[in-house]
Amino acid sequence: MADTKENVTPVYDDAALAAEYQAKRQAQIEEDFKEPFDPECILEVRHLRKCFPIKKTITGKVTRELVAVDDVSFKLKAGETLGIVGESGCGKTTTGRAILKLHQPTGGQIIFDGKDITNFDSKQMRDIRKEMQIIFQDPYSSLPPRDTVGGILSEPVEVHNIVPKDKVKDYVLELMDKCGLRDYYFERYPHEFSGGQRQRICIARALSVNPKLVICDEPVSALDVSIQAQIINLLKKLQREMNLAYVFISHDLSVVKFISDKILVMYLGAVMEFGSKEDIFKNPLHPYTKALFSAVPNPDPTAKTERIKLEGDIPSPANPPKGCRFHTRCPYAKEVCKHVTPEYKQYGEGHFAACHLLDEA
Amino acid sequence: MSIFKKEKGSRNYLTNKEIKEIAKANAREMKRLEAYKNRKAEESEFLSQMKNPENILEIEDLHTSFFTEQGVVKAVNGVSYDVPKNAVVGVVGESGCGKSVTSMSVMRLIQGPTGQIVDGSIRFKAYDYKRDEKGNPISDASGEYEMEEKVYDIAKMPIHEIHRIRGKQIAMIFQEPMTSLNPVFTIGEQLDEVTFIHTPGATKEMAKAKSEEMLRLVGIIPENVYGAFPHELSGGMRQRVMIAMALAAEPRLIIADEPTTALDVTIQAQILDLLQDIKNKIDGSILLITHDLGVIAEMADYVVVMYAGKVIEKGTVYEIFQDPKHPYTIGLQKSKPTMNLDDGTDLYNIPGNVPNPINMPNYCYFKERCAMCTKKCSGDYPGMVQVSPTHFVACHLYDEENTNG
Repeated sequence: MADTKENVTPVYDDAALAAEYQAKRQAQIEEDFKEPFDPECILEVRHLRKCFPIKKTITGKVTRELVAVDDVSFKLKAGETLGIVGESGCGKTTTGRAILKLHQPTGGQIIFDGKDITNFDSKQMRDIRKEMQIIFQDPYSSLPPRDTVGGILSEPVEVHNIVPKDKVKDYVLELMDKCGLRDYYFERYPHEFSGGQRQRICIARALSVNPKLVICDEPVSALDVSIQAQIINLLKKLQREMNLAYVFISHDLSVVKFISDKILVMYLGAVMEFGSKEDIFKNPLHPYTKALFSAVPNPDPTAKTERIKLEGDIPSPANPPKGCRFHTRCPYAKEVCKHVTPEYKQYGEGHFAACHLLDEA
Repeated sequence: MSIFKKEKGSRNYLTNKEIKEIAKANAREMKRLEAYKNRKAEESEFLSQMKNPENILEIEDLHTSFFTEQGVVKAVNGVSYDVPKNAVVGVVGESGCGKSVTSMSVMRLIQGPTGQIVDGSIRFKAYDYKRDEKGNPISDASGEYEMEEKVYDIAKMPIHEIHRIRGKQIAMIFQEPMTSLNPVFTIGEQLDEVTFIHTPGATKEMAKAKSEEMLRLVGIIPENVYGAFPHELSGGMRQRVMIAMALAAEPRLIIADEPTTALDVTIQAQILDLLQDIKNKIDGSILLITHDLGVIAEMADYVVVMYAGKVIEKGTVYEIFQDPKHPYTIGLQKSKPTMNLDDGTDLYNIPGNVPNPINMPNYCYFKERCAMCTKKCSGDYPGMVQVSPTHFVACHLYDEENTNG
């Protein structure tokens, strides 16, 4: 009997495993919440969770939820850039919006500048808003068409009383100069500008209130390559000058690599891997990270890279696979991956990953 | 009154008089071109000869313009390139450089009356039915149709004859798989339609068999997808269906217009592998249009670089990526952050923007953004200079080399 037992594949009780995992995670979350805030960090996100209701009963009780972001944690210091990468539908934009509280998080903590802002109401948020700003993906739809550039840039300055009223114009002109916009653009309307120039206006608008943190939600995806480079350089220059912290959300790995200090790889709402740029790019641990990097076309016709092929599509986030979320597409998936959710553990200094394969090695 | 100084000589509006003049000139020109497009013509009028029999498509000095209220936009301004047999030709350029308009001209999908092919020729080697004087296919006694190789000049074809080529000989894969499938018909119905249109005497069973074969070819299990509606499929699957649809008529040339731009990297890798695979299976050529240099490097045999409606450089993929000549091509490659790039302080960037397409200057369009500009650049627009048997560049920097050597 004893001999055969070892050869039999272990039987997994999915429900029990899920309950165990939940209990374990709950304990971990409660423990982490008690920890004091890190004074060095401008932004600290702990176990962030965001669910959207997809089915409600007639009384308004939510019967089915889509977990868009599940257990995301990271720390960000002033002057640093965190890159969030992942395929569409992996929750990277929702993370960005939840940090700004454009979506109220379902669970977790957001600590900004030493304050826990998770449960701030809109009045309390108003003071925080000028400290954290966002740049959107599409510069064509994120500027008001009926206002001049001067008007667009002056409004936040006036609302937040950044400078005395009589100095607003000078302040805005200085800001425009900093962002590479000429002074006579002041009286022009957004439709007169190309995509790159509009994105500069968006950046100027975000920076007009002297923020400490800027969420860049795919700021260069809608732009051409030559314009992309201009905008990336501008973002880098402004970061150096104003000591900004960026959360840079993008699906373009080469752009993320160029601009980020730390990188967070997401898949179906969960963090797969987190670490410094060197760790992630030189020594990727998670098979998804490896596959993602090998899928990027290399602009060198002689280099023939070995590609890790991912079969199939991303599963629906409304119904994510059991166990490891990635197991349906993972080329190295084992039986254990189908049932047990891998733990998010540290593998080296500041390098985290969630994969069963790493434990075996 | 503005207190800010405007750029000298810049007036960002048109006077009433100017608008009227433009409208009048446009109306005259559009009427002439529409009449030419809708004329009745004998087949001999649009038959032509290939310059090089190895090519399947030859575009020569193509001009496509849009007659807008602000003036004539020369979206394609004298473009020439060839697509050899069994090759992948990649066209790169920024948005608005005319790469899509060129391919739309080949398909004759330019939206009239504002958009018109003004001049030039597009020669395509088709494998078509023998036709009688009225243009109907000739069939022999047993009902079999005779086929022959003909060279059509697509630019001179009347628009009602284009169905001989469009969809059958040249198929197109569009950028947006979300919008290019009809939401009210099933995938099966849309795929069958291709066979019904392009194969005379096709039956329902034939069409279904063909559609299922095509779906299998692109890696889809037909049982799950044939009866499904487009909204039930993911972006990658829809793009596969689009490719299956393009293949259903067994085309000799596939135009893929940004086929992977709307897709994720991992799905993009799947689709690119599929295209490469299919090219080998169907014995055809692919004209790949994209702005992603990485995609071009992986897929293409020949590369055409376009800027502001003109071809500025063309050559084999090795020539363009390892020995780029035109300052724009060089800049484009340097400004792309690559995965292998080590930490530099700043990315190289090409300053400025693409010039206004309505009032193009006489000199080189890239002059204002160019870092290697010389006195000569203020002169005429540079002609194509041959640097190697397959490598051509339109830049004054290489004029001397040519005359000396």
